[in-house]
Amino acid sequence: MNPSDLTLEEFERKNEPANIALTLGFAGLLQLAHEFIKADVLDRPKGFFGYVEWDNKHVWSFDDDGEEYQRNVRALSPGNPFSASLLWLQKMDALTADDAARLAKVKEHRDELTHGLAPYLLMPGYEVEPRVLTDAIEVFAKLNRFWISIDFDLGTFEEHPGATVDDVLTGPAMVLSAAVNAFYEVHLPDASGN
Amino acid sequence: MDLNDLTPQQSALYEKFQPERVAKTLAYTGLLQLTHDVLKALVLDGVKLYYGFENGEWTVEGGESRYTREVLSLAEPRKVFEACTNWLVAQGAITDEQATALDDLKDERNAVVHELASYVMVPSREPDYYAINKALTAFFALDRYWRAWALENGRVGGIPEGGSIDADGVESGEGILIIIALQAFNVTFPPRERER
Repeated sequence: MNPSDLTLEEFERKNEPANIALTLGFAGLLQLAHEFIKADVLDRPKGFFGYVEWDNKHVWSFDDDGEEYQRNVRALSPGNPFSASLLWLQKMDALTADDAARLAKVKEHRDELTHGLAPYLLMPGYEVEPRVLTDAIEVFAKLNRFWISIDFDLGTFEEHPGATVDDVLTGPAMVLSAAVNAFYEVHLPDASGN
Repeated sequence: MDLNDLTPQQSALYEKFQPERVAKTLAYTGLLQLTHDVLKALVLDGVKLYYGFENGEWTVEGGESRYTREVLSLAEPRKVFEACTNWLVAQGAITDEQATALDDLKDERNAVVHELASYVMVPSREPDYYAINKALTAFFALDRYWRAWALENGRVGGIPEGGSIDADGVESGEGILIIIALQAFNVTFPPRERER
């Protein structure tokens, strides 16, 4: 888009303080979702194969050098840990190929906003993508559910007989939900239902 | 729920999760993200360009070794940003206080952006909402310094990739952009006196 083709009204609408603050908030919210997704995609598979914190150090508790993790996860996409983890999560039926593609788009948009936010704040035509945020929330919910089910398999909730996956609310899920609600309540009160 | 029945910890969590406070932390994260390109252009790319690093390669003979000797040696190994701010102080481009403000802003940005969840969740963790304001004078001091340098050296084209120096004042535009964004943030989330 050529800036000289834009009208003054388009610039004025884009540069309203409320719009700028909304874009800043959206960038922060997508960063938060990305952080939680990254933990579920990258960190939790390592934990699944025995990578734990012990005495303020991280160690492989099942084998000395994380060989199982290397063979089962990292080997699926050598040199790209995120992609390897996504493939493993698909093998585990935690995600579909479509979910993985949506997460790739989440990362791409997050990177755009993290390292090139300026045009999104001021230039008409550069708009944040709410659909990507929705994708992030939906796929995170699937990841979250998968890891809760693993925790059930490992006996984490044995002291709560009768509890199901639906009864568990994790910290990240609660925080992301609170953040999404706060974002809508402050920036888009008409859409928040409050 | 009777708020008077809450323990101090519960009360702190309740306050932390008020929508206004959560939304403020998120929007400030966006502001800090915005500083990334400005810090990179004005500090890291500017100093490297001074020694002849352009379009991803060293274009001046001996430039890289001089950069290593005269800039990187000014801080501990791998603390490139700090080395560059120290160099800029030595050149008279910024004051010690401004260099500290830039270093602090870079650290604040990295901490909040990469550990955002804890800033949203943990009552005792709060961003320094004044970190950007403290660095504003440094942005404009560097803007003036690099533009003067570019003019002296016939470099009106400036830094191609970092976009910090050119005839259209791109870096100046970025400095102003931060002020515009900061004002929009302050209109939406009026600063409290104790944050300063």
